[in-house]
Amino acid sequence: MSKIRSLQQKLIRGDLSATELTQAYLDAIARDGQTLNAYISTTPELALETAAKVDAKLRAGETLAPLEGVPMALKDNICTQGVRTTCASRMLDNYVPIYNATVWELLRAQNTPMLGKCNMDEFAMGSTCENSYIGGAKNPHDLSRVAGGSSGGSASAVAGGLAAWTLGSDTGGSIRQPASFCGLVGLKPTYGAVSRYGLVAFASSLDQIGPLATCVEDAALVFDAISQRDARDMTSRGAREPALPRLHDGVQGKRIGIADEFFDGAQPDVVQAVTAGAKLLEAQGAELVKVSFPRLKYALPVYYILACAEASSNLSRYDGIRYGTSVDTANDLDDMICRSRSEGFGAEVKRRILLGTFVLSSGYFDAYYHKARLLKESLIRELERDVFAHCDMLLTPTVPMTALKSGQALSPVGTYLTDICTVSANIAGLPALSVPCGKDVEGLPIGLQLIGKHFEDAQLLAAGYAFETASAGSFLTSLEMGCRL
Amino acid sequence: MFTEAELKKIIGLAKLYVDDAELPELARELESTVAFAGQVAGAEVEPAAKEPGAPLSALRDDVIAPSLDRALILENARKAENGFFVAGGGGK
Repeated sequence: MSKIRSLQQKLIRGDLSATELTQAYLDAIARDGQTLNAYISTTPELALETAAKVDAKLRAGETLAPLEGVPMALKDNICTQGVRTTCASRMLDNYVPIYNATVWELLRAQNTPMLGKCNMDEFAMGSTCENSYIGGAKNPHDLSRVAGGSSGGSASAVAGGLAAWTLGSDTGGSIRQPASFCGLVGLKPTYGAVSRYGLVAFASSLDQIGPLATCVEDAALVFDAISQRDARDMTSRGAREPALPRLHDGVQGKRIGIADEFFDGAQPDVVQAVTAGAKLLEAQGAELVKVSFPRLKYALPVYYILACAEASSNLSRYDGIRYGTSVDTANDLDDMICRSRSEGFGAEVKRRILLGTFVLSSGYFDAYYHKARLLKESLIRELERDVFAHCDMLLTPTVPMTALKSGQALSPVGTYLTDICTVSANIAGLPALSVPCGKDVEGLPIGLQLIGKHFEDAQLLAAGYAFETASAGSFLTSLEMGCRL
Repeated sequence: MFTEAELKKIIGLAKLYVDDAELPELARELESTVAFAGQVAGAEVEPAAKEPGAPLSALRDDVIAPSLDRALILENARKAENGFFVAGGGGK
């Protein structure tokens, strides 16, 4: 059952007040927050102030909005007026936004108590959350393992019972991969379905905000709340339709594509669990269709060229003048800018800025950036012609493996390879959903990914719901271990 | 293989400083990521991909709207004077 609905029912029935519910989560954060390292900042006053408004509405007999009164948290790259927004970077350690992201405006209007801002990889660059300047978030299923990245704190908080749901951002898999590692549902909406206004930019043509939750219904509830057209984001179109009314549509007659390329090199128990998940959907009336996506092998290099190029441009705004870390002494303006950036950015961010600068530099632009742009178009056309012309959605593993050990030294390229199944959806702007589908031999969660057509987010969530219902929620491992409320 | 001069040029364009002692390790890392990215060189591009794609932006009329408050914007500034950002290290 929906955690959000179940908690809200408790409020409506008077089993507990919104203030008591919020305080219970704050107590859980006080108890387990340090262990999981899921939060960069907590905002107890703000959360309790919002909860008090909900209690007043309940006393007055007013109807609650779908998310009202249920405590949540935001990834720390979503701007919150008056609340520190660090992007897990020394560069923005003391940055306090003067405006709210559109998603936060929409949620505030529903009186959602915000418990705090979640840990992440610095500027959303990473797959383990270990690139955070405060250290990585832990995986509640096994504290010796990473929560994933870059939205690792958002995943750890929900899986560890430190928030009912959270928002993350996804540029190459940063919602879906930690959702998979932590046994949660994670949705990357269609590019343009959710406003990016107030999301600190990493790679603007790929970034998208979305929910991490304990079940598909909660992801749908949050998606409906945040997917609106926004004049302040020129790429925003809003959702084609709300997801909740279609949640029970099922998968009868839906064609689900399976492409072998996504399974190559995956951990055997991941292949087994995802294949079993496909069979479960087939048993619900879906038709499994073999498709082929040979250009998948180019998706990661294309992604890293484009993402790093955009990052090098987007992060050029951090000059130590208008906001962010700034050195006290410098010889001249250029010296001050270079020193501020060198002190403020961490190693992975610098690495990606340098790669982005390289592929955009004279002499290399055509061979790398321009070629990647053309390949991006080729990938999109191949997906349209060879995949989505034959099926309604694509089923893949979310990640080829389960959660990595903390501190497991992978080379930068080795880390990038963990994104092989997720980046295509970002490159093509498609919606993609990760749902838990099993556990590996060590009991770690495995995620199954469904990728849909543009603006078919509702259909995707309906398929995810059908899978979750058919599996009787048996893979929702977060429920086993900490979501006490 | 990056020469030291090429590496320093990229570092300069990126507005970063890197200690000379760190250059060899950085060169190795960058070479490995550039080699990874370089897989695109051998990839065949579909002829149709060279045609301009649909614009990402949903175009709409420009509307004049109030800007953010100048005093608030300056609150995050390293240094501000007479309503302006103060730029430059100034040899302090």
